[in-house]
Amino acid sequence: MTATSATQLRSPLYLTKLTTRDLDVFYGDKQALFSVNLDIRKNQVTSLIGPSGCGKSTFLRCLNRMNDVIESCRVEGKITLDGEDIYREGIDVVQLRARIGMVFQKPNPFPKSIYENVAYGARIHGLAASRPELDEIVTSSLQRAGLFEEVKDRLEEPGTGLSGGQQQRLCIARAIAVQPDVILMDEPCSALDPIATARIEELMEELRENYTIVIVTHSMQQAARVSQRTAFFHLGIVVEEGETPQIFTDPKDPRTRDYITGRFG
Amino acid sequence: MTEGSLHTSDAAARKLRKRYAAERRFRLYGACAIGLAMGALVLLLVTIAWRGVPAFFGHEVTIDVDLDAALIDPEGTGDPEVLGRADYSGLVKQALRAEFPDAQGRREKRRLYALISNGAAYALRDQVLADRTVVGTTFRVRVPLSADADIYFKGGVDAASAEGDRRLNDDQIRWLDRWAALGKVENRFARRFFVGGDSREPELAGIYGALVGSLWTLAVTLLLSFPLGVAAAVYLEEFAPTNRLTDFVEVNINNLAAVPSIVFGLLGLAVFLNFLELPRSAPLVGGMVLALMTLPTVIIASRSAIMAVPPSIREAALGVGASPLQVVSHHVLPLALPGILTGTIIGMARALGETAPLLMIGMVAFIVDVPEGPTSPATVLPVQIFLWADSPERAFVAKTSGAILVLLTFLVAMNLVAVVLRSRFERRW
Amino acid sequence: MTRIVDPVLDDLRQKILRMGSLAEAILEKSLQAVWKRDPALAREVRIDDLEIDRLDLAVDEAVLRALATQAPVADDLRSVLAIKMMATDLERVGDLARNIAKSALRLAERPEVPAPEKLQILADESRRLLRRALDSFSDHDAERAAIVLDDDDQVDERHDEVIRAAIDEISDHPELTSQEVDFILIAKHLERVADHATNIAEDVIMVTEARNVKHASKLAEG
Repeated sequence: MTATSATQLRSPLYLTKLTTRDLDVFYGDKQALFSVNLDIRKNQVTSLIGPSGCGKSTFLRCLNRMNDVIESCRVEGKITLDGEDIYREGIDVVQLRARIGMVFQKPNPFPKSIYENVAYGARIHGLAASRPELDEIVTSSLQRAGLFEEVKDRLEEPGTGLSGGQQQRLCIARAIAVQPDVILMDEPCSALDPIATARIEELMEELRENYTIVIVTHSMQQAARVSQRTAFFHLGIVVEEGETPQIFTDPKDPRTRDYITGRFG
Repeated sequence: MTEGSLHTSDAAARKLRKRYAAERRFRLYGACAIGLAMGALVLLLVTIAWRGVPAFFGHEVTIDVDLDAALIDPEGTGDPEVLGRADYSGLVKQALRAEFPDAQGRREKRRLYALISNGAAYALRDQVLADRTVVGTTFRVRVPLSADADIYFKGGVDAASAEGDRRLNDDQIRWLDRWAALGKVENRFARRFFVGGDSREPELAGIYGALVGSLWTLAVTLLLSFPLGVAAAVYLEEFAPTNRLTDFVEVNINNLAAVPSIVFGLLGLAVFLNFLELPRSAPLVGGMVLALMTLPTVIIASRSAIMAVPPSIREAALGVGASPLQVVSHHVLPLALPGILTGTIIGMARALGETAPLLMIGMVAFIVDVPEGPTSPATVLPVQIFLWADSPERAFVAKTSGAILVLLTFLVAMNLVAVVLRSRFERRW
Repeated sequence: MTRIVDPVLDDLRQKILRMGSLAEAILEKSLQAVWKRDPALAREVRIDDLEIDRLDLAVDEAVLRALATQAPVADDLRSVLAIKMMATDLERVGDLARNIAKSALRLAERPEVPAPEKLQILADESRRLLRRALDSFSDHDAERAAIVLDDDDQVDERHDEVIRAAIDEISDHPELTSQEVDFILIAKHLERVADHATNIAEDVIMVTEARNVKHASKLAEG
């Protein structure tokens, strides 16, 4: 009996939310991802780690087709959300992005009021029929993002006036307000202090109950703390993917070991 | 200094002193440059103001006119048409002759009449039309002095110089002095300058016609260049694919901004007047030409304002599922608007001060009437200034400066609005 | 490329190797005290054991510091954990050597009974196991560590033989009971030393191969 099999025995039953099959991504002539096959499990936090430029952010942005904005970007292969190919002809990108929310590296609230920041997504997707309903969405989203108590008395103040950590939680609330299935986070704590970081990490653990979370992070410790599964990207390929504890105690691939222990030169 | 570091040695201290001296020198140069520029600006403004402010005032004289009912309205109809047709000029002349009976010969009489502006008869008529009851009375009326008389009271005529060298002869000066001694001459704010159209008579000429012409022209320019410019900028920044064609368009927009304005005038002449046969001298065509000239400025300003909107805002909006149009209309444009407006206002200010292209499309004509719409013949402020500056009459010198003051006031006001807009809406992201 | 964590790990490894060689040395010394009936040597063991205790404390502190400041992962993490466990084992070996030295003191005070040959063989085997375990650690040699695991059974058998022989001896010569009991105790301690050597070998396998082989046979038997 080995360490890995012991943790596998304890792992709960899971459903697959997102899958990628033979995913190749090109920027012009340059290939950024090579045949990526990855399953993202429902109600789990999956972290994507790897050195800068390894393709993890590219991968993340393929999942909600944010790469569409980049003209030279070409995506081949298949990505499915609940079994449905999201690059299929005729898929509605706007609707897709409502199902797969995103939180960015730098907190980027709209230069509008806190209320408007959260209400915006719900409004453009027509999720609220009336003002009280919209209020309800804003309140519950802020609550779930753990921000409500701090801002309940100043919902009309600009979101940009909040602290960095609060802004990032506001961005999470904004993403939640659209009621997505999946939340993608692109280095959400890289601009935050340790206290704000800890707060976001706790939040991820809470949100996992209702959402599937994929996070790109440069902090090994963060990946180890918050995620159930970890995928290691290097030079555009997934070198290794597995249970987070396994990746951090017994990486199978020497490249993974070298990366997480800092031997990469 | 025994154990001192490399940076505390004497040589180092000397170098440091030299560096500080160089810095002080550089600051001094800068301060001098600014001082020089400010001095030049102040000198310019003071000169123009000193010469222009008298244009806002004019001397008027009070005369008693015998409004003989038999001459004005022999049948007593009270019909305004009849009243308007009367020979008020003759009445004014009669009043002048009554005042100065010593003016005898035809030449002397003409010299006497020359003291009063041609506008006096019109002023009298307007007052009679306003109040018909004065007909048949001796009516005390204030009429503008002629430009030469006005200049005399403003100190522009040296009475001691030889009679032949001045525009007023000794008699005329005597009559004027007499009026002044009787306290009949008053220097009053010349409303005419601000509400009147152009005139051959300097004392009657006003800038209102040119001002209205400018406003119509600017309105046309704004209506054309703002929507077109913003739409072009949004498309180029947010939607256009990056390819040769887009690059070509971009380069040409930048080139257009550098094209001399007279070229746009020639284009307007060729296309709008000769080909499309639009009305000559009209604010419509002037506005169209200026819109062409302003468009690159608006596009470039709008593009840089749009470009300055952080990409993170676009990503955030796309990330919650906004469509590209929603991203632009909900987020990018509102954030870029202050910059766009600033650019537009600066473009408008440039258009307001533009002369050359308008000369080409005939807005340089002498137009007395205040334009009633974008298609009526009109001139604009800078062209009016140009016309007046070109006039031989000495009184137009003050008029020119006065008009420049008005134009400058508008330009400064527009730039102020731009500055206020920018600081008002400037956001921190 | 030298990582910041490398000197920290090297220092820990050096401390363990020092502890290992000290443990070997005082085990040897305590056994010599038995064989040679030398109370002076036996007393030295107590002093030497204090040094092992001190090293054990030093390792504890270094391990805590490494975990807190370096947050090691993967093989680094396994090394630090293994070193902590090995330190505990080696400290226990030191204690066992002290117990053997106590028996040596008692034996020296009593009429001489030659140490049973089987006990000497057991002592050699236990020492060899400890040496081998420590060598496998310094060489990162999982294969040699695996041999230690196999040989442990042999030590257990030898231990049983020594006990049986001592019990026979007691029934034959009841007047020598006290000496024979000490031989039984020494055998017991040596068997424990071999167990600790086995633990160390298991730690080596965890470090090098990321496999936890502890209690493997027992768990397999169910």
